[in-house]
Amino acid sequence: MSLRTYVFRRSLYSIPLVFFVILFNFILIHSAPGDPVIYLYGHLDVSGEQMEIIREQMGLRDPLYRQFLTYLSRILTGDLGYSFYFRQPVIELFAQGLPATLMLMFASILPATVIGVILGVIAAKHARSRADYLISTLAIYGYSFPVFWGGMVSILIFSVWLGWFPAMGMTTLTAAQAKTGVDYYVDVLRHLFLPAIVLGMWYLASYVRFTRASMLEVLEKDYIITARSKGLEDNQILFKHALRNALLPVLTVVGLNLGMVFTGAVITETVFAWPGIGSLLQAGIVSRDYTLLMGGFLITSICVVFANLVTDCMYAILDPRITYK
Amino acid sequence: MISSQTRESFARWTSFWREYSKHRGAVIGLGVITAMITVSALAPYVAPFDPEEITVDRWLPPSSHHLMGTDNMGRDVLSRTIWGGRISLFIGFVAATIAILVGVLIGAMAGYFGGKLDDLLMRLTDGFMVIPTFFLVLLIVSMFGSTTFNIMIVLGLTSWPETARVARAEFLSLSKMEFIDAARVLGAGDLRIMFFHILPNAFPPILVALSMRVAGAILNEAALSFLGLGDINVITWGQMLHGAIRYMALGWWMAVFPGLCIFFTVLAFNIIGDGLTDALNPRLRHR
Repeated sequence: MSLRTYVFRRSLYSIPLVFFVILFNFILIHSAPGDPVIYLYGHLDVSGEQMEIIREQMGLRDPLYRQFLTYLSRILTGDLGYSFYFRQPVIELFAQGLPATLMLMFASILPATVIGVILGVIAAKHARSRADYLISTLAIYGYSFPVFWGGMVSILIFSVWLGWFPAMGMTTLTAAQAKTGVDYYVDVLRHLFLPAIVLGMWYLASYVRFTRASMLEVLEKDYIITARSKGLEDNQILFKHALRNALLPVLTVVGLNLGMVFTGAVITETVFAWPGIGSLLQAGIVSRDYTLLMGGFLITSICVVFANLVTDCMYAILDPRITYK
Repeated sequence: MISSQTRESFARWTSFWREYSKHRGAVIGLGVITAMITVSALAPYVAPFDPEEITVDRWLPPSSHHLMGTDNMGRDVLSRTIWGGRISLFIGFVAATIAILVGVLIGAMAGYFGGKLDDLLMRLTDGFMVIPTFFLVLLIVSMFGSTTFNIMIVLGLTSWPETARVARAEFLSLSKMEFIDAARVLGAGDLRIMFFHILPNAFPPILVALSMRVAGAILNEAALSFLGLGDINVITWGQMLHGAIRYMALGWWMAVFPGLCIFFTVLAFNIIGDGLTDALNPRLRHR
């Protein structure tokens, strides 16, 4: 089977997964305690009779499969419902928050992945050396701190005490200090610095640990020993034989993290009041806006399915051992 | 027969401990956790003040009287940290235990019986792995209520897949060993073989998973509390941090000490996990 057919088939395989995700979301919505009608209109003076009419109109009296089909068709047309807290369609809210979240994620995950993999390879190459000890120790420290606490402490030190960076938001809001042109971008970068570093640290640490473990495992393999006995140079073995195979599991984790990018954002954005999807979801939690949260969960799940698809296709391209069956 | 088997497993454990104790950090980590558990267990005796007692001494910085200062309601931060450790560790252990029980059960069945059941269970595990777990947890907790009970159950039931994989690999390879054939010839049933012959030998990797899961559960509980989804009726380190964020500039000690406790506890559990992993595969030593 050619690569193209594999990619095509693998894409088809995602369709039932997306269907499953939507079904799962539907079940979650229906298992939520409480009556949606009372939730929506309970504070108003509505008689029981009127409530029945509302139930009828909302389709809550329909059989479950009908309700599911309605739900499915709404999702497929991009209608994720209406946020009662923000008084706006959920999909619009997500579109508004997306640029800020992508900026933060790009600024933290990308450097963290590159540096993390490099440090992991160095540590594995010189296993048990002083450099390895240093890198591994820093990595396990970075892997063990709660991200939001790191954010709080960095705000305390760098904003409150030293005053080097702004503590929250994405731009300076007061009109007198509002920036334009180049200054505006500098302003945004200054706001971006702390959240990107704090979030990036965690990703960095986990990629170091992952790459190192994966490398050490590959370096024990028979084909590496074969390569060594052929008299190949260390660097050639490391980069041509080992790294390519060791990076495959790392790729999976990177893909999964990219898919769950909004989950990663919730905490950091909350700490730094970064106006992205994470802050949006946090507002949804505080106000118990389930439509908003469900929408977020659905979008995230679909992103993960998609990220998995991309990862699998990358695997097929990168890993010579995979036969497409 | 029995006694020789017991002696053999005892020998395995002592050699395992010998490998483990080579990892200095892991031994220190074990010490830290032991100390944490002891202090938490003795909270009513070692905490200098009543953790809930509201006084007029607000915002006192750390001093000899209040080693970690007092918070925005004049409560002693040290006493709250000690009592908070109780619940935080408890949630961590219960959630991790649930995850391990589910994971081992599923992994054991998949690895031991193999075939169609294996396919089915592993597909389920793969499916669960791609669910955005933390998101699911905060959805469920916000829908069904932020009680300690709910948080423990949900954290446990969403973090078993990795353990299931580890357990499956162990049960798969161990079930092909000769001593299992021997047990079967002697007439032992499947359940007996799984739990009395394979499980004890699969214990070390399960311990690694347990250690890592406790760390993960403590971090997740703290993150939930921070987002306002913690149980407001109990003191946990996460709850203390949640209360501290608004007062960072007024009393750094409110945020720093509970945070350090989470950090060192999670660090200790992670290092223990690394130490156990090293002791299992001496060739892939972490250092």
